[in-house]
Amino acid sequence: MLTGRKKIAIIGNGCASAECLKALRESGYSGEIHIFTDSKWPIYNPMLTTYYVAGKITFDQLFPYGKDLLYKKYRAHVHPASPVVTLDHEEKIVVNEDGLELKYNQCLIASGGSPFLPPIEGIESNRVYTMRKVDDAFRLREALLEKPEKALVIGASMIGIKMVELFYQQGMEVCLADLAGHIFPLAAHPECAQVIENRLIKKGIKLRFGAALEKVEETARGVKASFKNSNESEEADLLVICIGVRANTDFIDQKQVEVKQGILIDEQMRTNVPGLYAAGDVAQGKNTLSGERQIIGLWANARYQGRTAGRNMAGVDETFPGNIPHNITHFMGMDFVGIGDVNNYDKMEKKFDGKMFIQFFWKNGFLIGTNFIDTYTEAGVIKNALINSLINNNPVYSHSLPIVQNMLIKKILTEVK
Amino acid sequence: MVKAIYLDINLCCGCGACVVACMDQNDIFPEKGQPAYRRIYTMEEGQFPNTSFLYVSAACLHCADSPCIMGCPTGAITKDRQTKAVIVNGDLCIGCHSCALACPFGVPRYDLEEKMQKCDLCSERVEAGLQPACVRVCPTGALQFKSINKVLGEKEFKFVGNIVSGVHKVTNRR
Amino acid sequence: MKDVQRLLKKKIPTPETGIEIRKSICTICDPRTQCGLDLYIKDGKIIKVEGSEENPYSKGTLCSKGAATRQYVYNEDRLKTPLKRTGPRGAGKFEQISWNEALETIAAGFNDIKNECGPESVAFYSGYAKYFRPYLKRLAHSFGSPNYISESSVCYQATALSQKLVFGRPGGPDLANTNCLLVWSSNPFYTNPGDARAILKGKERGMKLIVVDPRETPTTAHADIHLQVRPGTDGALALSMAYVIINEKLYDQDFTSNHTYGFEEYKEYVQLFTPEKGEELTGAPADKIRAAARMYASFKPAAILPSASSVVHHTNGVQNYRAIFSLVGLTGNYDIIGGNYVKTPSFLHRAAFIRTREHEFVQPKSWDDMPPRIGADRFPVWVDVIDEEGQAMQLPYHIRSGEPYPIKAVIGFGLNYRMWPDSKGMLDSLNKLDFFVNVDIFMTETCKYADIVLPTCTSVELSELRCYDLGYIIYTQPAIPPLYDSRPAADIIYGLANKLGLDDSLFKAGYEAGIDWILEPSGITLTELKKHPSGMFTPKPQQLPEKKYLKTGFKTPSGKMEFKSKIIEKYEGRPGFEALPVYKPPKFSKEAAPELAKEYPFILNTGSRLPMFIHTRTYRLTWTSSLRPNFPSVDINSEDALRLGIKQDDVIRISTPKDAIEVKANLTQMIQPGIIHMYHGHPNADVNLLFEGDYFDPLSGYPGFKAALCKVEKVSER
Repeated sequence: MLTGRKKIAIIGNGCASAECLKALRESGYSGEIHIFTDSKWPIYNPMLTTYYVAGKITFDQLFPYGKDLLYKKYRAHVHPASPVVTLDHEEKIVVNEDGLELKYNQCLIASGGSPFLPPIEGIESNRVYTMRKVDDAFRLREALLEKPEKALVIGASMIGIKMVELFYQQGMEVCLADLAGHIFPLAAHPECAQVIENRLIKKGIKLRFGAALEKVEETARGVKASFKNSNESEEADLLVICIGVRANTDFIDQKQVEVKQGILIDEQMRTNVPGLYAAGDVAQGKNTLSGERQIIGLWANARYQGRTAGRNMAGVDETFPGNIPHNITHFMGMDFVGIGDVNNYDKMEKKFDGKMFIQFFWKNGFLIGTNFIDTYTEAGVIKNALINSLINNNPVYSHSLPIVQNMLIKKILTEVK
Repeated sequence: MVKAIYLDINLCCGCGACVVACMDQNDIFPEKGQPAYRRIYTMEEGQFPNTSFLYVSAACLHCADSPCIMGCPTGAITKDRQTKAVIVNGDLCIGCHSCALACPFGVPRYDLEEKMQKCDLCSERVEAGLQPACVRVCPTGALQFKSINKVLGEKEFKFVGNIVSGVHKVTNRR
Repeated sequence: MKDVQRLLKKKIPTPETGIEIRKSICTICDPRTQCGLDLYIKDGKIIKVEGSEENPYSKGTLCSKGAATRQYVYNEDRLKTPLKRTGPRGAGKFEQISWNEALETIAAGFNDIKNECGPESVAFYSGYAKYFRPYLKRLAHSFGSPNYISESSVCYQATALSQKLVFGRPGGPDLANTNCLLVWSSNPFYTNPGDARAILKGKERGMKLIVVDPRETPTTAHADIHLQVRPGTDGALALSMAYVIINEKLYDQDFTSNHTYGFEEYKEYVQLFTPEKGEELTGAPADKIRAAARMYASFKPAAILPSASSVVHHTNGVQNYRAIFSLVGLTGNYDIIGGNYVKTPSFLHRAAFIRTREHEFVQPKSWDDMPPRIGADRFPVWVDVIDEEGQAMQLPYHIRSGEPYPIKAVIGFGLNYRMWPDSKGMLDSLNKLDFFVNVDIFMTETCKYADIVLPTCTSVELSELRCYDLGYIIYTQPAIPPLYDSRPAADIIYGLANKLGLDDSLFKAGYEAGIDWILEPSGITLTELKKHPSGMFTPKPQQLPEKKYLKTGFKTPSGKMEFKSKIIEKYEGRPGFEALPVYKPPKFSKEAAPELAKEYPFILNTGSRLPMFIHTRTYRLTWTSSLRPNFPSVDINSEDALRLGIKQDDVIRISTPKDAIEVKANLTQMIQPGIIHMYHGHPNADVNLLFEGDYFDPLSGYPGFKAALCKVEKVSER
């Protein structure tokens, strides 16, 4: 067993881990840092897998932190290709599949998430694909070499739409299906979704909403999907499932560590167990909008959480007050932005000039969410102002904001009014 | 000594010389779909005869802790070690617009190849001992290139910059 | 990227990059003073521009127009060779010809007209830029024509005329030393950044600032008092201020008793203008008028900064300006340090504190030895007071009427017919000419109507002499040779003088010899100037005393400052020719034409400056035009727009009894309700079409561009 005085274990090898590592060193932590990961790859960005499959980036570009520079620069011991099997937080010992045991002082869990596959008949077929990991990208790249003609994408999510774009750009026939009633069920208001759907239909994308996947069968062509309460099945060469991600918490003793969908953390990324932190897609931090704790699976969110954890582990008292769901996705010549809550509003404002679409959602006089299509320029301003407004209990447009923000917000708010 | 571009909003008259100088410096041609790095915002309040207004020349503020760097999925955005400028590596940019949602100041724009375009603080000029083109041209002295510490020491709070929050009431002007 | 490539991309001038800096000046807008340019040159091409730090006026800075120099110089509309028209006028069909053929054709044409009708039938016109004007004026007179005319007929000259009527010699504001500056309808932040910097500096040292302007501008933002008047009511405001100054005994009694003419009558006349009456007539609150009058009269020395043309672009412009300039005398601020201080111009209206022979050069023939100038019959005061030129606004009338003698040919240097009110009428008049030559940098709309088009070049491609009021002088060197087959305007003038066979030794001696001749009394030579490519301070500047009138008297008929004009008195009885600075509202205003105002309720103000344009000169540059997207557009008050259901960028129609144009709406709170502001000369929405050609000031002939009546209607959503 590796023992000694100061040791930190980081479980997982994504951006939250990387930021934690950087923050530890930059905040003056000088002890050992051990990174445990089931992956054999350097730190990659799951979002980039579709870009890689589409040939828009090189393989090396999947790894935004470089190959192993980061570990060298920040002096980390990496234990790759071996998942953690036990985390004994009382004894503060982490054990991986290879049998390596480490006695740590503090530990960050940043083990991320895995694509969720519904427990239905035929789901294990090798014509069914997911899209998150490097190996997922390899698989799909290979599948595309066979020049498939039609793809079925289940899950009208941000990844789902990038898959649709990818297949569309390959010249394939595409069907997008989701259990929900419209595209981007969490991020888009139905009216906004309608605008996007119309554009997709114009481009020849087949849409099937309210369609619950029931069964997957392999056929001569490839794969056939059947839906609940529908006689009409969908046959395609391949099927991609993008209906969400589940936190990787198998190795955690849930009797001791508080876990719901993910590991519950506070504003300093601490779990309920002393010395144990969590960050990234495995962690359930504060949603400043609802006040509830929620997994907000975003690259930047994971990085901020990892960094905050690292700083706190190094003894710097820092908080990350939370985040709100927000997405920007640029696909098939459009931009969609969804920020905050687009459902539980008491007032809605809308502007649509045929191309540009803007919706503001208000509750009790507070801006709680927005949808934009084809106008990204003020998206960041609004998002930041919205978060600021929630944290400080101020109206979104306020003289307490930096002047440039103030101007841009006023401009767009008046435009929609 | 790290320097940053500041704007004295009492002196900015919205003439746009900085915008044009930036385009000249960086060979930005709007007719080719190339977006400007610097923009002029006008803010008007009130009604005749009690109106007030304000001009702001704004570009990337090169934030000390840049949300765009954190938001960029590819590592295309980095901080220049010497000048502390936030720099975009176009070869790595995939045009995903994540930085647009990250930036609190509405800075990122994209060219026709979907590469993010923004101010680079004229880093090469700065390293050569010159001022950023926008500062060099400014006819009223509203744009200044100053040491961060010096600005923090200014008594009167009149700058929009990367370290000050830029709080200013438009009605204060008159 | 390799280091040198990186430096090249960022245009860093080093030996490795081979980028060198050459000096010149910018004359895209050619106001009182020209900004210095540093041109970054790589392989003979300009790759970047910057303000020249040596230039004492611009101090390294530029405005948006000057910063766009590269797009101006390398514009795709540049004329490349001399052209001869082959299709109908306006069709734009030309064939290339040689310079020799072009100049010989022009010379032969002009000499034929001279022999047939007399030299006065050829008019020589100068638009922008201005450096070549002395040579063009000499060319006209040497040829025998009195008709050297210029765009100054709608810009600087009426301001000069007003000041000359009052004082004989104009006195400019001494910005560096004044304690109270009264800016009258000028916004130097957009037009003369050097003056704007002087204002900011003045504010720092505690100078009071009063600004008269119908709009909110960056200048009014710095004002202690902003008098927001309705356009064209400036005279009433000045008279109302005089009321306060006189009745509160704040005036300079020594000056008024010893050095003025007509004070008692003036004093009596201003009694009509109580501040309350002033408020009624101008819209500026009475209390502010009082406060401004007291401030201007009490903080000494005080100066008035006029604008070249906004006050005079009214049907009552000269009288209004006389009322304004009377305040200078009333408060004893004439020709004193920190007041309106009189400097003797050295060259092109600028005083470098050196003596020159400019006047002798430009006026080789006395006016008396030539037939009357264009406009002389209609504007006798002009002839009495203005020494430089004819009244170009009368050119279309003169062409059409042929009275008192025919105008057969015009050579224009940068002539743009859209500068004239009733611009279509001007174009029709040009089409009546036997022979029309236009010299320009670009293939303009006007060029398409010319018989011969000659390509000239920009300031950075030529050598020119300029003086600065700061005692500075420059003779520029070309930063790049003239592009294509273009030639500097002065070369064209000298070439033409040669082909015309003029017996003029100074033309024969050549351009540079002429400049040396002009500069001879100063002791400065071109050889010396060429050693200073970015210019130099004049050695041994002349010292100018204050109150020069104590020795020489005033250059007016009475020898005094004239509240009542002896020159105008000669013509009393003609409408508008009142010897006192009598206030009348603009001819087309609610007050003067109430019936018209019912149908046309908006005040139409045109040409008020925008920061990125100077006339039509930068419309074709995408850098400057990107600063005002959706141009051409008209500024309309947001409340008015709301009332009329007009939203940003909606198309609206502006009509006058004369005509109508359609243009996009730009909503703003920076202008008053009831007034719309439209920039001029745009081919897609030419606001000058809306003006009758005879909507002018009877004293100066200046069009009432800044106050007419119009109607505004929404046409369509954006």
